[in-house]
Order: sequence, then structure tokens, then C-alpha cells
Amino acid sequence: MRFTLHIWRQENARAKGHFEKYDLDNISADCSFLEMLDILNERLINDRIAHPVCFDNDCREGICGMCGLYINGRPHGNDDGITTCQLHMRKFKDGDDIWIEPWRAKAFPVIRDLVVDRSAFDKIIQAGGYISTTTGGVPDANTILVPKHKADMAMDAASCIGCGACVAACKNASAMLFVGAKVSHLALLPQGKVEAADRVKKMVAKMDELGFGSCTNTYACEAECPKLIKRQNISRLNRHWIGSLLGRDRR
Amino acid sequence: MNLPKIHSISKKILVALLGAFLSIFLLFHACANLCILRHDGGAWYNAFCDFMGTNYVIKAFEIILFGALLLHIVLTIWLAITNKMARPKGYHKPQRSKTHTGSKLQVWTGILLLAGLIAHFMDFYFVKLGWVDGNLNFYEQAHEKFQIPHIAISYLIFFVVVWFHMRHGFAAIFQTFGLYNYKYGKAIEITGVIFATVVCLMFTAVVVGIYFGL
Amino acid sequence: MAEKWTNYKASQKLVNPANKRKLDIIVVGTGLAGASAAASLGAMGFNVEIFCIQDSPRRAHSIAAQGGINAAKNYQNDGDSVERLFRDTVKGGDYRAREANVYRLAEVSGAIIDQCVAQGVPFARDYGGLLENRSFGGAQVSRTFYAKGQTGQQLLLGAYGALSREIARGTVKLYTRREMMDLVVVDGRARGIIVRNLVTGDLERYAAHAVVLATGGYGNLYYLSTNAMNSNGSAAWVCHRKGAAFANPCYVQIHPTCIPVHGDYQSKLTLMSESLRNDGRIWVPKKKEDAEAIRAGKLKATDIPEEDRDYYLERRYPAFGNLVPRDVASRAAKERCDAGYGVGTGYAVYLDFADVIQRLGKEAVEQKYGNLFQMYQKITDENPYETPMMIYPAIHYTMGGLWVDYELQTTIPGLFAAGEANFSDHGANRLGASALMQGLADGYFVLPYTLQNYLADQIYVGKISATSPEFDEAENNVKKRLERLLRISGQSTSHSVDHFHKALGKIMWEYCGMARNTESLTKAKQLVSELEEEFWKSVFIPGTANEFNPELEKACRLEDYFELAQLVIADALHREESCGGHFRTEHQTEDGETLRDDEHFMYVAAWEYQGHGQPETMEREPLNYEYIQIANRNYK
Repeated sequence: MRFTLHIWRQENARAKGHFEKYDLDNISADCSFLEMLDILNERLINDRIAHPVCFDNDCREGICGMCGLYINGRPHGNDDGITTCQLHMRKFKDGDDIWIEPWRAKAFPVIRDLVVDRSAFDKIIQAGGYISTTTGGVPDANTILVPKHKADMAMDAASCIGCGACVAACKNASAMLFVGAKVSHLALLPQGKVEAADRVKKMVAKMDELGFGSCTNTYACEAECPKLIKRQNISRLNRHWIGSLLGRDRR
Repeated sequence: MNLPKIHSISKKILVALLGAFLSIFLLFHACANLCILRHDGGAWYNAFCDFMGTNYVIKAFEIILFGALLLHIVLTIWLAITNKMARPKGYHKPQRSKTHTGSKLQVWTGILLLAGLIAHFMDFYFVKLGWVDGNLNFYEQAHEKFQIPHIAISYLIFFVVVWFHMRHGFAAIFQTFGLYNYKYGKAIEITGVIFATVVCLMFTAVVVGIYFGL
Repeated sequence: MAEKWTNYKASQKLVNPANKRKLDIIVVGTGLAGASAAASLGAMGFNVEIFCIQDSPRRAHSIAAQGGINAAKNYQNDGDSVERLFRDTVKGGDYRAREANVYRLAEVSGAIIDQCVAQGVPFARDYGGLLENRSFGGAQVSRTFYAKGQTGQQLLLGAYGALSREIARGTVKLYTRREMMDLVVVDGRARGIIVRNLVTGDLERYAAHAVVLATGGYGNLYYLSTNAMNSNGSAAWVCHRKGAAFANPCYVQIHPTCIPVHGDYQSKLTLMSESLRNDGRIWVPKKKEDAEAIRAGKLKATDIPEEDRDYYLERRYPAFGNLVPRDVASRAAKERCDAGYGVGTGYAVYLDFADVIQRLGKEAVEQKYGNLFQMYQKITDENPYETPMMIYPAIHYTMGGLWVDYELQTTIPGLFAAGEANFSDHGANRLGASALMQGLADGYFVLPYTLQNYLADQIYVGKISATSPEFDEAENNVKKRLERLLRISGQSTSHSVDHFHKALGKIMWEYCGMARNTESLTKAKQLVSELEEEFWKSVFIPGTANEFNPELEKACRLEDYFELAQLVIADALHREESCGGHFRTEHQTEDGETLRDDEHFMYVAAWEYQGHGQPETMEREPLNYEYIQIANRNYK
């Protein structure tokens, strides 16, 4: 297959950046999107055309959340429920123009080319996205009963990989789905209920502070989440927020 | 820009709360309008307008209503600005994600609504306040205005915009209040469409009824 | 021996709470072992600094573990116990693991589950709200706890949560996008590290009273593996250069159920969880002509009638069937493919779910394995509900690693190694769902004790300075090393780093992979040296050392892999027996099973670095089994 790539090139955080055009031929349809970029880089190195294109990637099986490219107007490309590394070239047509951009958000500054800094997500988790435990001194696992449907819902919310596609997709660069998923995961479990009200307050405050936008119920995040995390989690976040304002579960 | 600190979700909740309030008002307004369709020379409708224009409780309520409207607008604009600031550099390729179009249109339908509302006030409310000339008998005023084709059509377009704004707004209110869940999600959306449709049909009935002299 | 850990804990030295603040600990790596260790040590009150190469601690490759975590809870009342888990693990490791370490691992396994549940890990539950289990390879009880097919992710997020809490409390400092370039040894003790800031390219120094290495394994030596792209063996290797012994490097685990290789451009192999072997049946055609027809595309898997299918694992190992340990399953697949019965490209076998779909219905199967099936379909464009999956073995895990004692301390005092980076608990083969157990056991329940024992007398040392000549020297060496690499930039014949890495991987897979012999290993040795020479002549590394430069990172790691490859080969050559993941074709039984030589090779081989290009010297640590009766490893 043959493609024309338009890739965002930006030497460092301060540089201006621009789109660069590359033609690529002889790509197998079974090739993954990132492998296609590997091939491009191999050529850029062999022919000494330019510095290879920098892009984040690691596990290449859709679980680490490291990769994330904005491809032809969609985070993680034109398929549902996948990460960029799970996108295959068979999803494109021969001769397609492919525009590749980094995640765009104030909270995710570009480091180089397509690599962005997502440490804002870590900071939100550090604000309270955990259950306070210290090692040891916990009860036997089976003394905490969790209804199966609750455990399943918590698992669905917990499957978030922190890739940032929700922020990238949102017209407001909002992190509500990310925060909603973590708040839901923990609030659905009896272990996490104790700190629920406190947690939601701290995480939302941190999210606002870091410059993420707010939710306007467009649900692009839900459409682009590689782990298919649902908007109901945002709703639950809102509910818990109201609860925390009204003093429910207040410590 | 330094804005006073209200958390993003709180702002949204306020917008939703005010939206819910305005929706209920619209339903009330639409019901009252149906009186025009009585062929009684405006007896009921004018009596109603008279009550609305003179009762002090209603007058107080008017202030709350305008306050709500204003706050709804100010908060949304505030949110829109902070949301714009959250992505200083945009994408080259327009977004192709599957989304609720209603939401993306919400700001624009909101602006259209504001323009429409001012035009509507020029026809009725400002007349009452004496800011513009016109017939203070709103029954007759309605008949005069709605028989002019371009005004009637403008109103119908206005109602379509109201429909879009309310359809998205209704389900969004539930989402923002945290009441949207796996069980009732679908039902809420359907109810939203029904609510918006019923309200808008009631308004449309009056305009169409007068235009065709039904 | 069963009381060894209890006795250790009772008699070890402690550090009083006020003094813990004054002691600094560096943890490199944020996977299960690193994150759990840092969180535990931080919570105890030590000053911890933790480093990772990714943009967030949550990306460490532990996240990709799918199937589950073992624990001797016996919640299923099927005869499990600490004793049983201990014995299964030692047997699974082909009697090449240290008895006391494995016993400790089994002993703390239950507490890990308690800990994780308290952190909010959403393990699978049954309708009564109790924890659910499933079975895994190498065991006849159901002791594996799981969270869908994403157990590693959930456990890591649990540890990441605990770590995040400590970061918020200020006891742990997090440094992301940093790669450890060297270990600093002062007066014979590990006292700090040199790291490269991957964003700016700056070299940075960090000093501490102890260093914990939790940087995972070196599976990417083979280029194609189930490891993440950035997983590497360099941090462990620089420690080895500084004097830490490296143990059993030739024990490499090959996972039987991976999606087969399909092209030259392929960058990594994707694992299909071992849990699939609970319900999937592995087969190849019975007739060679059927296999040939399938390869030529004339026949489909579903065209082969039941009687013409060879369920070779069920045939050869009736007792364990499709649930034999990984090394056994991998070798059996290779044996069939080498004999000409392979499907696909010839290097694949079927993993069939038709039976279970018929028995339980599609929905039940979807509930259990939905995300794995979806993953398979995304990659291969084939629907596993309708046609069997194709799988083939691939490099997955390295049992070998830095040599550590019972306290997880390497031969350099003050340098500890945890998780996959050390060698200790799995012997010559690791059982499924044991890696997560070991990583968390080391981090939550072993290091917090043993590190304290080491640090007890370090309170007298005072703050470690990062300006000592040892730090200067280490940093200078790193600088020189980077300059040397960037200077190569060959002329017309330049190739990328990946080009050489792929070539190295091919050599290792071909000659030092699933089956090895003197001839293949000698050849590998030769080929690797030639390749290394070629690398130093004609690799092209673009850019400079003072910028974000992934090619330079890869080059550094590859440079280490060349040395590591030689050590793996040397170790494989010297070990004249077959055990676990190490299969020497000269040493096998008549029906192709591994043939151990307990008389001569019942020891841990700990290698010591002697300088670049020099053969390493080996120390033997004999394995004394006091508790366990050594037997043939039989899964029939």
C-alpha cells in the first residue's frame, strides 16, 4: 500500500513546529500503524533525510497507554476501542493521505514531534486517586464482600489506561472521563467508600488547577476511549461531587 | 486572566440547574399561550397577561427569571472561555469522533436563541415595558404579528432552535446532576426528545393556528 | 527451612522511626516490584527516590500481564496450601530454584491478595461477593486470582495508587523519563546512580544509602518478544559491569501462546494469556498433507475433521493436558512444527475454542476471554469465535538476572534487586501467574524487611554526597560512552540501531532459543561478535546527546545486549543438561523431554564481569534441597 503522511514535526517544547510531508510505499496491510512509522523512521535514517519522527510507544498491545496519536481527526485513528498501536494499515485505503498530530491540550505540552507530557494525569491521581493503605495490617481478602455487578462495574472503570485520548478528543480538552473512571472505580468498592467524598473534591480541584477544560456532554471521550469506558462514570463523578458539596460522607 | 474560583463541575451544575428552571418556565409559557387558540376575543389570554403584568409575586418572579437567564448565559460564556483556554493550539484536521452534535451546537443554538429572544421581546415584552411602540393587547398583537409571513416563519425557525437546545439540554441536565446511569440512560434521552418536542409543538400550534386562522 | 523467614524477621535489625527519615533509598523501575517497594518503604518513613523511563510510573510492563496472580489461599477448598504452592513452584522451576526463597514466596502469597484487595484491585468475584479463582499451567488446583484479562494492569494500578499516595505525602520523589546509565559504588557499597534525563539529555546524579533495582528482564535481547519496546536489560547490566554477579542468564522463558510472526517489519509479539489454555485445545493436523494444504491456503482449520486432528498436548501429557507448564508446551509446539505439521506460515499451531463455545455458549466464553478475543481479532483480522486462533511460542520472561542472596542483596553491598531483574525464585522455568506474585512479594513483603536490616548501621554514615570523585568518574564514563556511540555514524553503509537489534534477535532466537546445542551455540557466539563489530563500524545514530533522542537510547541498550548475548550463550554452553527453559538437544529423553543432570549441575551459575570481550568467570552456588524430594519433572 502507498500513503502520503503529513506529520507534525517540532524539535522541542519551545520550537514552533510544522507539518512535514512524507511519501511511503510498499506497506503491508497487516502492518500496524506504529510499525508503519518504524518503517518510515528506518528510511529517514538510512537515507539521512531527517531526524526520525519521535512518538511515544511501549507495550504495543494496547495496555500501557503510552502511545497516542491524533490520526485524521480521531485519537487512536479510525477504529473503535483500540489504541494507536492496535490500529492496522488495513483500516486505510491505498493512496490515503494520513494526517498525524500530537494530543493537543494546555495540560499536555508537546515535548518533541508527536510526544507529549502527560504527567498531569499522575498529578491528578496523586491528589487522591487511591485508597489510603499502608503495607500489611489489612484484613483477609474475603472479609470484604463485593457484589459481583459492582465488582464488574468497578473493573470496567478501572480498565482506564491513562492514554489521554479522552482529553485529546474532547473539544474542551476535559479530563472528566479519566477522573470519572478513577472516582467510579474506587467509589464502587466498599474499600474505597470511606474516602470517596474527599477524593472527588481533591481530584476535581487538581484537574481544574492543571488547566483541563470542563465537560459539555459531547461524549467524544466515550467514543474514543480505547477501553470503552462509559459516560456513566462522568455522571457518577458529578453525583459524588454534589454529594461532597452537600456534605454526604463528609469526614 | 484571573477568574474567581468556582470549580468546573459546580459551574456546570449551576448552568444545568438554571437550564432546568428555564425549561420549566418554557413549559409554563407554552401552556399559557394555548389560551390564544380559544376563539374568545382574547378574554382568557388577556386576563392572564393582566395577571402576569400586575401581580407582585409574579413581578418578583420575573426578576428571578431574568437573573436565571442572565446567569445561565454568563456561566456558559465563562465556561466556553475556560474551555477554549484548555486547548491553546487546535488540531489541523477537524474532529471526526462520533459525538452528540447537540452539544457542539449548544453554544451556537444558545447565541441564536438570545438573538431570537431579543426579537421576541421587541414584539411583546418591551411593548409592555413601553420601550417600543405596539399594541398592548397581546392577543391582538399576536394576531397582527403572526399573520405576517416572514415573522411567522422566523418564529418557526426560532422554535426549531429551541428544540435543539432543549433536546440536548434535557439529557445533559440529568448527566450533570449525576442521574444518568446504565439503567435509565436511554429513557432519559427519549424523555428529553419528547419534552422538547411537546413544548415546541405547543408554541408552534399558536403561530400556525393564528397564521391559518384556525 | 519453613521457619526461616519467621526467624529472620524476629532477629533482623530495625531502624527507629526518627532515623528512617535520614536514610535515602533509590528505587529504579516502577513496575510491580519497584512501585510496591517504593510505596512500602515510603510509608515506613524512608526517603525514597523512584525512577522510570516512561512518562508515568503506570506504564511499566507489569501492566501487560494478563492472566492472574497465584496465592495459596485455598479459597476453593481444593487442597491448596503454602506447602503445595511451594512444591509446585520448585517442581515447575525444574529443581533449579533456591528452596528457602520459594518457600518465603509461597508463605507471603496470601498477604499479597489481602493487600491488593485493600487497595481496591477489582478482582473477579462470584455471585456471593467472594473472590473467584481459575487454574493455570503447572498446577492441579485453582489458585489464580484475576481481574478479567488485565490482572497485571490492576495490580500495577494498585501499587501505583499506593506509590502516588506516598508521592503526595512527600516520602517518595518521582522522576519520570529518566534512564539509569550507571551505578555509583563508593568504598564497595552502592551509593547512587547516574541517570540520563531523556527529555533534555542531561546527565543527573542521585545519591542514597541503598539502591534497589527493579528494572525487569532482558527478553528484548531477542528483539521479538512479548516485552514492551522500551523494556531492556541495561540497568542490570551496568550493575553487572560494576561487579554485581549475574545468575543463570541462559534461563529464558518461551511462552507457548503468542500470535505468530507475520512479517519482517514486525516490532513485537503479542501474548495471548495462558488462561486461554484452560478452555482452548491445542492441535495440529494429524496428516502432513493436510498441514501442507492449510499452509498453501487450500484448506481451512474448520475443514479438518475431528479424527484428523492431533491434540498433541492431550496425547503426550494426559494428566495435565493443555495445562502443562510453559516450557513443555512451547517445546511440543516447536517439535510439531519442525516435523512439518505447522499451520499458517508453518510456524504456528491451532488453539481451538469450538468445544468450549459449544459447551458453555458464546456468551460465557465472551465473558471470560472477551478482551483477549477482541485483541486477537484486531491484530489478525480473524474471528476466533469461528476459526481457531493460531499461536506460536515467543520469548516472554527471563528467569535469569542479577544474583541475589536471601535478602535480595546482590554481590555489591547496598544494591538490591527485585522482581524479574533478580534470578531467585523461578529456577529454570517460571509457572504462569507467578511473576506477579514474585514482584509484589519482593516489593511489599521482603524488601521492607531486608533493606531495613541493611540500613540499620547506615545511620552513622550521614547524608551521601553526590559530588564525590566516584560520582564524577561515573558521570564522565557515561558521557564518554555516549560520545563514542555518536562518533560512529558510519559512512555509506549506515544502518539504524533497529537493523542490528533485529539481526541480533534473529541469531539468538535461531541458535540460542527454544533448543540449543554445542554447535548452534558456538555459531551464535561467532555471529554475535561479527555483528557487534559491524555495529561499531556502520551504525548511524542521528541527533545529539543533548536532546530527546530515542535512537541514542536504543543504541546504548543494544551495546549492552551484545555483551549480555555473549553471557547468555556462554551460560547455555556451560550448562550441559536440559532443565526448564534451557533445552540442550544433546540432553533429552527418548520421547523428547528434558534430561537434567543433578549430579553435576545442581547449582546456580553466578557470572562475574571481567571487562569487555573477556570471558566471564563463574561461581557456583550449590542448591541444597533439604525439604523437597527431587524427582523427575513429570506432567504425564
